[in-house]
Amino acid sequence: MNSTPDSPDKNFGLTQAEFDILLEKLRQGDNELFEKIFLAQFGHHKKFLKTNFKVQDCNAHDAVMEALLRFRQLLIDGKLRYDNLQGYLLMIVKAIYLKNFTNNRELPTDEFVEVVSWLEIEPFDEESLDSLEKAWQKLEDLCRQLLKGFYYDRTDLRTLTVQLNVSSEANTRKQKERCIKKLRSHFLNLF
Amino acid sequence: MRKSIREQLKNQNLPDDDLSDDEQQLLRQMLDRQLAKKWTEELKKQGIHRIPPMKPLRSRMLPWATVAAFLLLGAFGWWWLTQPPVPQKMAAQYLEQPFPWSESIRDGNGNINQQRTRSQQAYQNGDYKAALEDIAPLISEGRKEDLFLAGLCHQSLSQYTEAVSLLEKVRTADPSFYHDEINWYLGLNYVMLRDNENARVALQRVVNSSSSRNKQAALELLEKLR
Repeated sequence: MNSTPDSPDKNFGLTQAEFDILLEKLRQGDNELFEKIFLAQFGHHKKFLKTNFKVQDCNAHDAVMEALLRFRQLLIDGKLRYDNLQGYLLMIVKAIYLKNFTNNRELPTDEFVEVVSWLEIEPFDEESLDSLEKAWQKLEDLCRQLLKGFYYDRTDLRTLTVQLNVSSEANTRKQKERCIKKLRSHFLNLF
Repeated sequence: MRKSIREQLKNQNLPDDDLSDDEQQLLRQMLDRQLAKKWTEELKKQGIHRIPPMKPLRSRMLPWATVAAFLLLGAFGWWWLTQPPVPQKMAAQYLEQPFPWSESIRDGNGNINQQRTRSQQAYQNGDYKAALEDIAPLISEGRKEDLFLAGLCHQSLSQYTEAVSLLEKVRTADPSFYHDEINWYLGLNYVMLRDNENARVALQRVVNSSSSRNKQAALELLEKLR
């Protein structure tokens, strides 16, 4: 059976409608459906790297993990269309492997600029990440939900207002300011 | 890897109502790390584990190679220590060649003794234990041929002390009887007993004898004993 570019065959069995639901859930901070679909692909992609690139298990594992995180972020950011999700994911897996574990900096395609630009981002040092994590744990639950929703899950303020049961969007905005101030304060005090 | 963001944050005029781009990146990477930890646990439940990197073959083999080297060294040391010194090795090689016994099987009265015959045949067949069992009871008769044969049997059975004792008795009883052979075998037996002084005396007699066929070998042994 020939598959069309937008068929479920190339999109992990998802229909367009299911894909839209997936995006909506991700933007509400609900990773359950994403995990159900894509963590099931983890072993397959890991095996792909190990077989085709003779990669050590840990390197294949790390590359696929990073690819899934990036894939999730691209979905949330609306950078991936319902087209050939399997192809996109495979391309990201390969690009990350080539960048992180080989000297080959040549990326697999020019067309997918989002992947390229993301790969150029340098990671922060572990100390900074550890400090932020400690500061994060000191925040109250409301702040964590608000900041994660706004900056990580790309949930808009109106939706967050409803989700967090805040009286108005303006109050949510003010609450966000207070949370940012607290997070900065906790973070800088750790040094 | 980016440098610490602390100074950057301290020196910047950051907006109150928003995180800077760097702050957003840092937050995203931290939350990615948390999500990766969660997924790692989920994957473990599915039987997908991250196998730690293997050490290079050389590193993995190094402890075994070290153990093997020590074992090899120990085995060589044991072998070297247990090797007999050169004179003993030479004497042992000469003693591997049995004396071609051809004495008469008759006694002094011309009679054939069945026991003596059996002993001699056993010796010729290389069964020194059987030969000794048959000849031993006859030693008390003091017949030099019997003493010599018993001595030869003992030396072939690596019983050098007994061999020396019997061969010395023959030599004392009749210094002319097989004197070259008896001196030669005495020398070899003394060497095996590491009695170098008596070995040298016996071997010197071989060297001094005009009739001995083992002069050269005795000389070489004497050289090694010095």
